[in-house]
Amino acid sequence: MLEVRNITKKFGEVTAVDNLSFNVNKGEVLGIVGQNGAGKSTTFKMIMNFLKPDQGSITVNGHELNEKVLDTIGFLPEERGLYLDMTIKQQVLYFAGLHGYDLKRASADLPLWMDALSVKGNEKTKIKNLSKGNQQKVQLITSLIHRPKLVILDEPFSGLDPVNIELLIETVKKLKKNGTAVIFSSHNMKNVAEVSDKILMIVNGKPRLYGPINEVREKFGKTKIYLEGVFDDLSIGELSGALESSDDYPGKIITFDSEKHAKSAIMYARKFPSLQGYRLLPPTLDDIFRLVIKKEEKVSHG
Amino acid sequence: MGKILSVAKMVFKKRSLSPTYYWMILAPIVVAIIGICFAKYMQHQSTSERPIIAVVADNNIKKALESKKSTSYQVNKKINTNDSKRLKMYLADGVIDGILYVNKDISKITYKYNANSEASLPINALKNDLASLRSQMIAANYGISAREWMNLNKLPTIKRKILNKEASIELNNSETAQNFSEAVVIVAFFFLTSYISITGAELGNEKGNHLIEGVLAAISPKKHFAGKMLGIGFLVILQLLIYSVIAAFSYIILKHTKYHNWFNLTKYLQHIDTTYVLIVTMLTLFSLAAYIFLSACFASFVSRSEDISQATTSVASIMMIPYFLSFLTQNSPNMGIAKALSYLPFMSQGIMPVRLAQGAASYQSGWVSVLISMIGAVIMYFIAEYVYEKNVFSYNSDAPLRVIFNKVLHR
Repeated sequence: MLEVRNITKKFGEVTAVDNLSFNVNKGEVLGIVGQNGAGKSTTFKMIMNFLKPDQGSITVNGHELNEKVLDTIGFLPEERGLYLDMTIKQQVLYFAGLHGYDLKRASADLPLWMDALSVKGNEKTKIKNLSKGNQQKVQLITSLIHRPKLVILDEPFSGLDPVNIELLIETVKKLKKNGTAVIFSSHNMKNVAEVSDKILMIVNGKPRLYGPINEVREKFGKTKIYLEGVFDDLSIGELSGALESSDDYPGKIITFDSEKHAKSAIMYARKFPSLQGYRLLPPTLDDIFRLVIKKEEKVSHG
Repeated sequence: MGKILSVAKMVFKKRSLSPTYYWMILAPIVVAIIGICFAKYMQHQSTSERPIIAVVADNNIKKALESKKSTSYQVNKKINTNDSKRLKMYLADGVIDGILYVNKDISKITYKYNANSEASLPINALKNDLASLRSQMIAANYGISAREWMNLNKLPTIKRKILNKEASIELNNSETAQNFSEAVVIVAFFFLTSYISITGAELGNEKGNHLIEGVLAAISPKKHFAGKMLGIGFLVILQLLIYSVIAAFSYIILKHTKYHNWFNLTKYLQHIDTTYVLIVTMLTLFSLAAYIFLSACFASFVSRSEDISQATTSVASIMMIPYFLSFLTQNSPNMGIAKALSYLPFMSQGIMPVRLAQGAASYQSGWVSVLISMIGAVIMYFIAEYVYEKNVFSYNSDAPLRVIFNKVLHR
């Protein structure tokens, strides 16, 4: 569906996006993660044709970006903004009209969307009278009302409470089920892991990890160990490659930079009489994110 | 076209349903009505405040002052006494507002008045009238009759003729045209100020409130800009329609009331030349378009909603130049700078109407100015569209003017 090939974008001397490639297919969800300023929003702006890449190409179903193609995309920008004096219906129909979508169909779909996202108020409620969370939901509806084939959500979870995050995850799952391709960015790895088929990690504009979530995790191996028992005398400084440790009753979880170091640590822990059991665990996406960032920092500091 | 219309309809609907828009339309009319009523009130007041005076002087002088029928004072004909005590009593009782003492050769004049009287002081009018009487008396001493004296003082009439008479305004109508041009310049000023702020708000708010990314995900910047301008165009048309209806309605009502004479409407309208009105109207509309596009340029550099006023004020300042120049042109319509500026877009709407009204420019020149103004507005549209497209996504912590200066200096 969406094919992004070797795109690069520079702003003066700063390279915001550096030789980035990825693709998203019909019914697939891609989660893009990265630190602030990593180049996620710039990538989205290039897909939306707000910015032209200096190099590379972006195609949707084999077509270069044009108005017709852009009408098949729904976009929720990172910066939220709505016409506060309009009613929910006026707002949503205006955006449907801008996408060239049939207004009767949009009118019929609106109550269903409001119901699905539990938007408080009715169609005639003015936006300014809605809470921030509900305004955010209305903005999501404006980006979905024209039934896009590809949906791009820039930080959709920011500012939402846990209940609304769950609603949004359900919505993304429904879109995926209906064959819509979804790309979203987030800092919350748990949400990315829950809803994404693929992950793309960008660090300083460069792609650092890309692929199906399970493959990415497997690639990193089992870098965590769980040691059951009391280990008051064990300091992680004694274990090579240990990054961090946390208590998890009735034991300890220690994260390493590689599976090799994790296995060595188990051998070392066997010497402790208090050891009652142990397990090798796969890293979470959070662990992977931190690992990649730390590696990048090591490289950049020579 | 559908998307452009969607944006245009939204702009039109939002603004035309807002009470602010109607206040903007009606404010100049309300101001004009208040102005007319105030002028009439002042005129009425000055009539009622005309002092009634008693004249203590030679009979000839007394009669001459009575026959002047001055608007600044009224001679009480019934009081026919030189008794100082009685006159003072009349003055104290408010029967009269002042006593004028004049000696035989009008060399010694005194005006005694009651300080508590609400009537105005007619000193200047009395000074003029008595000076005229004195010169008449001196002339009589030299054997010049009253008729001869009047002939001596009569101002000569100068018939005005200009070379390109066929193509310019009828000079008999010149005064009417000048009044009309002054009114148009003032109304155009109101028009321009309002639409500059509407344009600034329409483009600047969406950018300042970060709405623009959501909107431009659905429509290209060029089409969005076109839609905004079209919507503002619809508002201008609605305003013209409302003004036309108000004008027609007022004319019909005034024609059938005693207030008709207040304005000398029929006489005034007879003197208005259609070609003149057409040129002035077209110049105003094209300059309005050019200023709207200029305002759009400035609004494209807005990064925060609170900066919109700075952007629009800058345009309004530029607009003040032709407004003030139009008043200067009234005295020197053929001044080099006035001539040049009367053909320059952004300036011509304030200056060419005045030059036409004075007969200093021909209708051909007027039409040339209209053509240049139209071309200027079209060019300005494309410049504004380009500037909007290039800057709609660029945000800057600096104020719009600084951003513009930086862009220009680093080009």
